[in-house]
Amino acid sequence: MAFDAGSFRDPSGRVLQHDDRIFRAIFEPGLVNFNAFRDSGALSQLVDRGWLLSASEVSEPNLVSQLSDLAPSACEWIEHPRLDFVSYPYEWCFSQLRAAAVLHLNLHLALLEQNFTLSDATAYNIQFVGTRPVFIDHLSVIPYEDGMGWTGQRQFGMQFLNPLYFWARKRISPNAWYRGSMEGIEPEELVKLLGWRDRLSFTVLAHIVGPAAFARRRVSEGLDGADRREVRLPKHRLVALLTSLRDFITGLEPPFEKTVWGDYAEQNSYDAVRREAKHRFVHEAVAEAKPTLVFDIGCNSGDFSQTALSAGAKSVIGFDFDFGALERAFVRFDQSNAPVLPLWLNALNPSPAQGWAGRERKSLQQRASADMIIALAVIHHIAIAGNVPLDMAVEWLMGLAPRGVIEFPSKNDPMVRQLLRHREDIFPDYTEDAFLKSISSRGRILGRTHLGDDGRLIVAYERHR
Amino acid sequence: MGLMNQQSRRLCGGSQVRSERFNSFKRLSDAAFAVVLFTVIPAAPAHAYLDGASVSMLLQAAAGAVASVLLFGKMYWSKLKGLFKRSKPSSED
Repeated sequence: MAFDAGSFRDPSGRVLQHDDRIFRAIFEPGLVNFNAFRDSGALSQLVDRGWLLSASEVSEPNLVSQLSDLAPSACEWIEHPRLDFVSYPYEWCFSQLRAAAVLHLNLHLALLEQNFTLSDATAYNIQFVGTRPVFIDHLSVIPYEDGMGWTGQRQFGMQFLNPLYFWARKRISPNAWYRGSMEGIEPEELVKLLGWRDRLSFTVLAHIVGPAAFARRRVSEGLDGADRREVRLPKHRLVALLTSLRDFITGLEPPFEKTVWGDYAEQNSYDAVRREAKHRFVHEAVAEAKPTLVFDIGCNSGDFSQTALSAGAKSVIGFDFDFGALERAFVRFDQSNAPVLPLWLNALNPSPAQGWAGRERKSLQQRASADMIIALAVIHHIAIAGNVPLDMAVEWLMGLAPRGVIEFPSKNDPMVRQLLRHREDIFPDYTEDAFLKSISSRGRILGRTHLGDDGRLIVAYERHR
Repeated sequence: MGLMNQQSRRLCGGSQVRSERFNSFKRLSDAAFAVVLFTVIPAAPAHAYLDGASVSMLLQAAAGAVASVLLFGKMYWSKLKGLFKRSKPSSED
């Protein structure tokens, strides 16, 4: 089937890829609403603001006929720009999820001003362009009818508010839970973790405790509970509800914890000379490769993502396991408006393909469209701390992109010695020679050096075709 | 609760300043809302089958009313503070 495996629920339209371009088929149920949205000027206003992904009508007859072959029942076709990388809410750090939540509510409020509203509130309708969130589901916009309630309230709670609240107030990252349940954190579950202090808040009562109680009541009443009365929600009250929720979320603080890697950038065992040498090596390798998209595996707070940008990379996806580092990276690149998207990744357990038919959400591997990777100070975590044979670790890294730079801290390195301090050294094959062999069996080494005297080995390579 | 955030944030398009005094007004409203909420909607153990997407219009209507008052109160309070600030220099002469 030509359509994207994640685009199937909405009878109004579906997304597909054709010739490396992204198109959206609009079917009859969605035609009137979409035209109203577009004709009112609201669509282009929101695109200009940077809140909505741009959409252009497909009119070229040849193209339209090609697309109609793929989806004959489509009434209209629009094209969207291709995103560098599709990411999912369970891969975001706190500030990203918060930025996405605030965008959603701001968008909803802006739509209400123009007499439109949103039919749902799923976090998967938001993608990131660098550190900027952008709404991508144009067909979620429907005309506002007087008195309409917020149909997306429960979904917003599950996919935005609850994980954020859990994160900020309980100081536990929700990502493992979120990834596992995929549709978010149910208020009925979160409510079990709330204390009396939590319940003093109007926002918590209105959006977590209330909906949880309502859901329970619906269950205990059975499927034919009392008929829903004709309750209206006046527009100004809906606006007030969304505004107060937005202000609440804006005020949530990221959980501040001293993580091991938070201060890494300043405190690591590198001295200035070696760090400088590393930046130079990475710069040269990236400048030579001229990649459009770089994956920075183990990006920490983004020092080398920045170097990759300076060397000519168009955009970078930074991956790290540590949320403290990701927060710092996000704030840094948000302030400089740089095209870097930091994401949460555990290299030992990357995001799997999941959802409906196991294909709705793609695995990291399936989304690996980078031209180059840089994997600095990370392979010892995979091979030693993670107990993965060195050759397999190299194979996985090299599988992510055609070219790359990998840094290899040997057993003499203080960081590696620290990893080995409290465990048995069961890594006889963790040597520079074995590392070089792993790379050259899969690709051509373009350059290598030791960073400083007795420093770490760093290698730039190009994978065999 | 009550992580006070006195600085404005770039991430949000609207106003983000909260004051200490406003918070106590808010708590009174919160308490009133809580009384309404817990008498009207009883709790019960949840079981399997559930219509995941449904929302309570009653709840939204009540919450919307309270939010509206809070928001109006916030604006009214800011205006009041503004008036007070303007007249203050003259009273210190």
